Amino acid sequence: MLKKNMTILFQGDSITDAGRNYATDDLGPGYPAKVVAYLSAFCADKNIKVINKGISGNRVKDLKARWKEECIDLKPDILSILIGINDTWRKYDMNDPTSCEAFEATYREILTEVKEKLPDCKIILLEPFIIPVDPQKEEWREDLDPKIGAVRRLAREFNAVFIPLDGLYQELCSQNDAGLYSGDGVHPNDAGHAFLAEQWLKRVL
Amino acid sequence: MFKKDTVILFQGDSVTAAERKYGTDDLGEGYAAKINAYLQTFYPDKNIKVINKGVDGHKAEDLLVRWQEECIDLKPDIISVMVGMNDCWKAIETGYENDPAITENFENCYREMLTRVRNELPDCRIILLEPFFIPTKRFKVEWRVPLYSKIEVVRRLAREFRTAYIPLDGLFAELCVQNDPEEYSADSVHPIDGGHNFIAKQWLKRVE
Repeated sequence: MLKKNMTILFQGDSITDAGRNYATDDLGPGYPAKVVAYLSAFCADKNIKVINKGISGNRVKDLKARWKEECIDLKPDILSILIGINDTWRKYDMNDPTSCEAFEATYREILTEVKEKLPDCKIILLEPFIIPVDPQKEEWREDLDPKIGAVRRLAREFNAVFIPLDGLYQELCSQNDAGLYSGDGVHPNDAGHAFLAEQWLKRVL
Repeated sequence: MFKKDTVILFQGDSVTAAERKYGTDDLGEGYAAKINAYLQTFYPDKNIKVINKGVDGHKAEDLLVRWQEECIDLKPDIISVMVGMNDCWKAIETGYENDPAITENFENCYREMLTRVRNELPDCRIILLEPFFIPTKRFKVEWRVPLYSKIEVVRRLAREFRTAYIPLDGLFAELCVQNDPEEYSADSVHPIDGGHNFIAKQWLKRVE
């Protein structure tokens, strides 16, 4: 999938953001930076440009609000999106739920815009996930599972590459302590980001 | 990875049974037979014995009833379990309602089986396979409601017992994003040949 001079754009929420400096083109310390570290080491001749526009706290409707400037106008050749956990989380901490139907409809709108304006752009959809460290967050599954179903449907509809991260983290944490990969079950730590980057590279390279 | 004379036992429902002839050593036509074919081809010197005890229609409670004779007594070195779909079926047929008592019974029976394996066969490797739907055109999104809670149970038990875990529901979803689901199943529940190939491949990737 990877060709010379391609632009890869990472979009999403705090997991993608990972504490990047918004004032610069800093990639943050999360999985986008790890993907870049790999590409710099092993695909340096391809001159790949990587952009991270993940923003902490974003829901799919927030992506929609900044989609022109921070996706379409950047003309990515590969677009990787990880979104959804805040659409679930706000129901539990702010009593501000997003229905699965609204989530799917808005997500479909931004993907449709990509299909229309950047027909050659390859789309990679990452399944939102919970890393099983906090039993209380297991209650979120009632809200998150159908949204994962929606992302899977959209992946088929838009012929995307799909990365089933929720299941893959569960597999990882069946024989390893989940606390090695995340403190709060939402945000991967350094090892959790390394796992994510590895899964991503495995499917995109 | 495989010791000489390794015994591998596959337990589960119709997905595992895959038309095997009951009362014989037949492995059926599913992933168990495919895994056996691979192992006999590439490890001919290891004398690996593969047993399939999947039975059509079985729930976790049905496995538990025959667990002594058809698991513990067979002394497997590797036990692979896939169960849960039939525990969902009543909910699916009666209107997609999820009944917590059914899920609780599923979890209790499943935990009892794994506890007995750990106690009586402490060196046995356990492989848990996630129950799954394949998104064919017959699939109804409501079917997922009872399945979610069963998948959660299997994941919890995998962590609790530190077993290997194969997230098949997600892996089939990934597979069917860029391939036609009809190549893997006709009814969304039972894999056809292509679906069994995929399961066998995922299993070998993790266990070999």
